[in-house]
Amino acid sequence: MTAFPSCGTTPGLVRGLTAVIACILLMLVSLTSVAGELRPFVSGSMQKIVATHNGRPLIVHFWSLSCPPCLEELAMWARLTKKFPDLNLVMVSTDTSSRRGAVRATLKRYGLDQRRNWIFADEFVERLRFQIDRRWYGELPRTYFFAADGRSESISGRLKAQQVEVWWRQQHRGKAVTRKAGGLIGQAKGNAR
Amino acid sequence: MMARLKTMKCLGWFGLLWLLWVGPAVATNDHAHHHGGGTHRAAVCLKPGTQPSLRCALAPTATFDHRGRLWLVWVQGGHVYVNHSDDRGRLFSAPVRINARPERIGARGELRPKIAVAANGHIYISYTQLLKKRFSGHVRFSRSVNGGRSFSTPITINSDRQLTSHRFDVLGVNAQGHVYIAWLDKRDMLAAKKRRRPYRGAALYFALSTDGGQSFHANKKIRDHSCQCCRLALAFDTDDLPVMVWRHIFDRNTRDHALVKFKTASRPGTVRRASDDQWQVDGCPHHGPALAIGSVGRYHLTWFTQGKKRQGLFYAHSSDQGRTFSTPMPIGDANAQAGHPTVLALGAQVFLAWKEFTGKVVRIRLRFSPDRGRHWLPPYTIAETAGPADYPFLLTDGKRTYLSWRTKREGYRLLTIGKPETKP
Repeated sequence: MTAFPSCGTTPGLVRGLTAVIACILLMLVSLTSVAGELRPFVSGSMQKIVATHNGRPLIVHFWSLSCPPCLEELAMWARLTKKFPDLNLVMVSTDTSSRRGAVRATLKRYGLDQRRNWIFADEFVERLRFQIDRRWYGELPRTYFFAADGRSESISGRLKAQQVEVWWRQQHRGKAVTRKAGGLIGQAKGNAR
Repeated sequence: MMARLKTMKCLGWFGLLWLLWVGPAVATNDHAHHHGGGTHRAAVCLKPGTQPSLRCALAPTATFDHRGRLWLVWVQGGHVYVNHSDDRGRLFSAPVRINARPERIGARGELRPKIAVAANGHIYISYTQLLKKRFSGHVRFSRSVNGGRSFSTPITINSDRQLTSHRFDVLGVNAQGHVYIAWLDKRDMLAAKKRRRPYRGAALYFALSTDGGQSFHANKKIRDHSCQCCRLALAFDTDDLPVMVWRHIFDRNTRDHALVKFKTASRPGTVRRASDDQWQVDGCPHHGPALAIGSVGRYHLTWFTQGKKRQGLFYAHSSDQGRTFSTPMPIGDANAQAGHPTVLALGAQVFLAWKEFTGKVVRIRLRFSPDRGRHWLPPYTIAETAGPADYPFLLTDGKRTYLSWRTKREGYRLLTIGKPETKP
């Protein structure tokens, strides 16, 4: 059996080391892509996501395979991401990690698999939700809008594409989300009637 | 040339190592989490062939029989098991398996197997079998007529066998021995879809057995447009007829609660509105109500909402069979995720419990009323855990009240609720 290869004798050490480093980098890169960009959402993840986008408008959307309205809404998110390629959208599946295959497949079906996707990976779900929002009881879908001026809103239930579009355009025009029409929540209630 | 060959060899070895290391970790493990689980349990519980035990039990439901024996139904590895205890949960009998063939079983959150014991000692089990297609399932039933030594091969209760949702079963047996099973059914949604008509939610159906579970009458629909994935509540009125409460879809998308009281054994009465919170949401709360009926016929209802009119957990009672309810009383700390309530009536006493999370620990809180829900003592904690936890359930053996609760760190516990405290 071939012994473990020596990746270069003394004269070829630099070449050998370069090859080793390249191998490791290749492994790391391939690991990320094989994992399908489904990052594990654990204690502290919400804070990290929000901190990374500090000052920029951000949407964090929670959904699940076990929620029919969530799945119906995925098509809307897919259309929006095509219309606004720079839409700062982070999607978090609240399914258990054992369902990552089905989650990935579902995201791929809607062309959302290349977005920033996360999946709950902490069985202490009570603590996860508490850290995300003390006032969120797990109803789905749930969407958080973080405006450029630091304000945030959360909405439970399906949204209309128009709500998201209006908010996104306002953010890019530099206007703060106004509360005249009740902001997004006012729009959401109006749609539900 | 030689250096290039060596580099290729190196790449090859690293590639092999990578496959060996990463391959199993990224292999999809897409069997239903209800079946194999993964939440809240030790790794050994996930191995096929592991002996059934409460340590590995998922979604346990408990009940007392008329002789004070505690019965438990739970799920492990694709099977439903039943065992019992004669010393209030300290020691349990060996589990008896219900289904010989493994099934995917709903055993998480709003879905869990049910158990009821009749006055004659018959034991009835229902559970939701999950099918391959998403959101689809069948309601399964099994019974024991020999005191739990063995159980009948499970049968499917829903007459409609389409690959759609027949899930969220609830089960009860009254003093006469009539067995009721109710569930959320999507056959009508499917029919509307074929006719290209819109249809919101699911429909509430029930089946009745008047021969001790040997056979069931035809499925009957109670009402269209229930919310499609919240647990149902079932209790028996003083006339031994069932009362059911569920999250319904009123108007276009108002997900408040509805109630029905049966007029006769097989005929539901008028469906009434049990809560008016104006929760307009096109979404899944996954948060069903709980109901208890006291000895003089007062209904005690507790539910969760995020409506326009009120948000959080609430309690109300009705003394006219659900026609009118008292002003909803808020319960629990809304900043501590108060949810998943349970309620029990014992004589004039009413017990109300729910789950909260303080940021560090999950705790079960209790409120007590000595006078049928008129006055309530302040809430206090009856149990807690520093890790993930199942929903709490209150039960009684006719003398004392207990909390039935499964947590990751402590496993399954039946805790006796002592004399209610007067201080918070």
